[in-house]
Amino acid sequence: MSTLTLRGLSKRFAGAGPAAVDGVDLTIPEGTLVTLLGPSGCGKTTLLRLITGFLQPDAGAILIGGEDVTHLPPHRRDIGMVYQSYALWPHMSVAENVAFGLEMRGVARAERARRVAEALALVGLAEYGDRAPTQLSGGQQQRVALARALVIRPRVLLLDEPLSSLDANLRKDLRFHIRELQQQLRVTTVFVTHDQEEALAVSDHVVLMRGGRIVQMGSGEELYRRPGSAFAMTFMGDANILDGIVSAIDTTGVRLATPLGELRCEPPAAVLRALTIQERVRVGIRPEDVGLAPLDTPPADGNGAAPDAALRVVGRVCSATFLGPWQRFEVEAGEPNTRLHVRLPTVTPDSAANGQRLQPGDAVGLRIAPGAVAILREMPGS
Amino acid sequence: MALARTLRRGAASAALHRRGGPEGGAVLLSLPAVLLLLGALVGPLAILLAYSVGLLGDDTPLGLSRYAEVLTDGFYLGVLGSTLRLGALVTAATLALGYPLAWAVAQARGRRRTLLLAIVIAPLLTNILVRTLGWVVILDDNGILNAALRAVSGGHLSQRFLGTDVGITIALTHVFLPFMVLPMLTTLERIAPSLRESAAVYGAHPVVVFWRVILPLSVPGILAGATLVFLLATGALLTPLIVGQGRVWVLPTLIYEQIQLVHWGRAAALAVTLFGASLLAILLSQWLGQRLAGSYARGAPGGLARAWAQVGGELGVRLCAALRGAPTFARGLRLAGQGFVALVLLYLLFPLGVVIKTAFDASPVIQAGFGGFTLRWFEALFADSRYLDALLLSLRLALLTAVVDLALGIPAAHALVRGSFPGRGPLLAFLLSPLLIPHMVLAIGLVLYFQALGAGPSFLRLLVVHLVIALPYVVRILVTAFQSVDPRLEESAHTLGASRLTVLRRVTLPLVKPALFAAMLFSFLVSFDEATITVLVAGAGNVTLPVRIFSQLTQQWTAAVAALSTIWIAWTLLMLVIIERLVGLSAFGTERQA
Repeated sequence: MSTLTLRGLSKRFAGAGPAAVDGVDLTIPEGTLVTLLGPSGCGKTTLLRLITGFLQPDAGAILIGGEDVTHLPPHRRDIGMVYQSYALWPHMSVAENVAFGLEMRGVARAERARRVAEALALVGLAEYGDRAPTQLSGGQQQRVALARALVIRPRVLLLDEPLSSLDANLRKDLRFHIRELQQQLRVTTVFVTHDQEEALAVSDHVVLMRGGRIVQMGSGEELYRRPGSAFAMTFMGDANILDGIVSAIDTTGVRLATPLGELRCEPPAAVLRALTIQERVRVGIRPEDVGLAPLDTPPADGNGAAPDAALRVVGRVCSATFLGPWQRFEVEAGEPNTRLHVRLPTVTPDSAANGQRLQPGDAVGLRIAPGAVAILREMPGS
Repeated sequence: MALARTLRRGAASAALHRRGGPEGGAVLLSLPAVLLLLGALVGPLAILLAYSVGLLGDDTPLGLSRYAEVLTDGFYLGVLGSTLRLGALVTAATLALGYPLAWAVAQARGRRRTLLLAIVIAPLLTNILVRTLGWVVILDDNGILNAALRAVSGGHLSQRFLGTDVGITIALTHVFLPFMVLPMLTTLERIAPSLRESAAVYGAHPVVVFWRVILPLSVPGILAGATLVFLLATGALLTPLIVGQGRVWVLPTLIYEQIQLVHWGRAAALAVTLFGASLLAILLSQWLGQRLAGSYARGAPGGLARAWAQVGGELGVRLCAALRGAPTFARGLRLAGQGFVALVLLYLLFPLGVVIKTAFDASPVIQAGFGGFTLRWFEALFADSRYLDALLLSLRLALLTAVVDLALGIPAAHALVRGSFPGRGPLLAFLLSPLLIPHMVLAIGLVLYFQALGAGPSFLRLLVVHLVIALPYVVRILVTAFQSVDPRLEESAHTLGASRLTVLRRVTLPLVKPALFAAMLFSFLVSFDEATITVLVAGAGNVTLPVRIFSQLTQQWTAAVAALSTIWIAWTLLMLVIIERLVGLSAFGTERQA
């Protein structure tokens, strides 16, 4: 278990256009779990193959626990790896699969048997050592793969979309299990996924990638709440994206002219400093952050509707969709053809929320608070 | 094993379709194909048995005396032994050369892969006699190999190859190498890269990855290839006959001689013995396959696969661990591997090149050097109308075979896949069974059968023979193709009111068009190439192109045969391009394995 450091890592495939991995700098502190999140083709799998050593970087270095492993072959890197396809050897029993890494490390037979049993117990498969991997369900196979990875006490654990071939329910169970084991064993872990919910659920830090570069990194909440770009905003969840022009700047925030009207926004200091008046920006608003109420009642934020910095605007419901715990509305407001997605909790029998009564064609009041508005600036060059 | 898998899949899709109508009657659709095999496969084998025990013919007393003779007489036992030895040698040699080649093809992508596959398949498409001709020129006392030996040793060393075991082994290894490579390729391509990579990640040195993961997982392909090559090598007649020059006896050449001597009973007993040996080899390979590879697939770990992993016990484990610190020599190993594969490819192509050289060589006798450029062998070829007649006959025969076998194969294969009558498994096995019978055995069976029926040499007789040997290829390709068609596509056409025939014509057949083409192509090529049986059954009035070459090679050497073979090679290249364009060489590779 050690810190994993990637320093200026680049990889370009011959004749395949832009670099697959383009100058990635990343430090994963000992014992933390970091997800590499991004759409397919964003370079996360290439990055993983650089870490395992199946690809050689064109530039940059890979350090595990301070040791430069860039030129070490895969079998000497002390890495544990879990594949989407499980990659269990079909000609070996479950126990033999798990024992393989220990054999390669010259661990004696008795010690091997003890540690294999321990690892299988850890993933709840103590009874399955003599089975063939093909006899197990997908979730069980993936837990065997996990045991195989953990039993060697790897310096770094890599998980390459480990849950993507499993059913939805199983996926949630196993991701909880993985997170629990990782915290219990404090193993430095890289978790690759294209599923933002999975990333939010398991990680200490999320690294969002696109086009071979890191777009943004931080805690899951930071990425969701304070996305730096339209890409991050839409990749992390549903979003309304509007065009805006900076119309006024003061010490705590800005005012933005948008098709909805004048929006107040209070961005982080670094973003605020960089903004100039009359600058064109994009504005992101999460559907669940918009207040929505029939025109005849005050919007749900209540408190006597004291005047605040929130934008209040009148609109008309275009469609209403029931989604179980949520209701999704499409509302036309502001300039013609400006539509906003809004999400409200579904009305339960004993709640007094107003959403359910809204029908297409109803006039509604919208409220958008400064905290709900994110200013999105595209990365240079993308 | 592959057969069992095919059947299981068939059963699954039939279960899906069971609601679909009066499928029981579908069994009738396979009737024409069954009748063909009953008449021209079961019949001849029964007649063969009858001759071998004296029920028919007048040179053999009733009873098992012929078998007693074959199995006790020193000479016959010796021939049986050398046949099996030859089979084992050729199998081992094709395995040693073929495994690295199959691996190289499996790893290659794009153009490189197409090129490698083309080089593997090119000899397969070139007639066995053309390739044997190349080896005669190379192995001749004055041929290229001896010239090279003399050059290296300063004139001291020369070696007889024609008429020796060594020569036959070299030539047969070349002839059957593709049959080893193709089944192994199928297996190697199924080994997911992640299985190799994860072994490396967990600390296995490349050598250990090979020993513990790649090799055990290759076992099914190795067994399939080895079984096939062993069957083909022990049953081969033409190459041992021509390269052996009457001085080397194996069962097929011995049977051939007995036929020439009209010793029917003995020829029949020898053929049945050869058949028995082949069946034993198949059973052995099935048993081995289950012990080695099948145990895990069936979910019961154990058997030889586990023993393999534990070779050397704790010492082996320590050795693996010690290797972890060793250098990988990745570069050196890769270069050595590429060099080896390049040599194997050269071995595959060299005889074809030699044939072309001979065709343009002015020298009238076989020699290593080049006696000047000439076209007169081509002129001699075109001046001799017998070659053109043979070509036209071969084309007519092959075209008819393709068309008729397709007409027999489509209803039979469709009934097998979609029908729900009992006994579909055995029926499929029966339709594929000509693949398992050595051609030499079938040949003498047919000779005796036609003789018993009093059917003299005729085109029809030849056509029936070719229909039988090409049918299994058609059936297998079509069964696979029909299985890949979602039954719901057919059902939805039924629900819209289409009759069975309309569904077949408008939905099913258009969906399997590439397979229809492949099936026709294969049956055409199988017929066009067939020589072993045709040589014995054709008769003087129906000389096909391979038979024409055969008689030239065995009677009187003329370089016109090399000219003809050169044209054949050019035709092969054309076929390769056509196949690559229309169905892709990869499809060819996985279908041809018998």
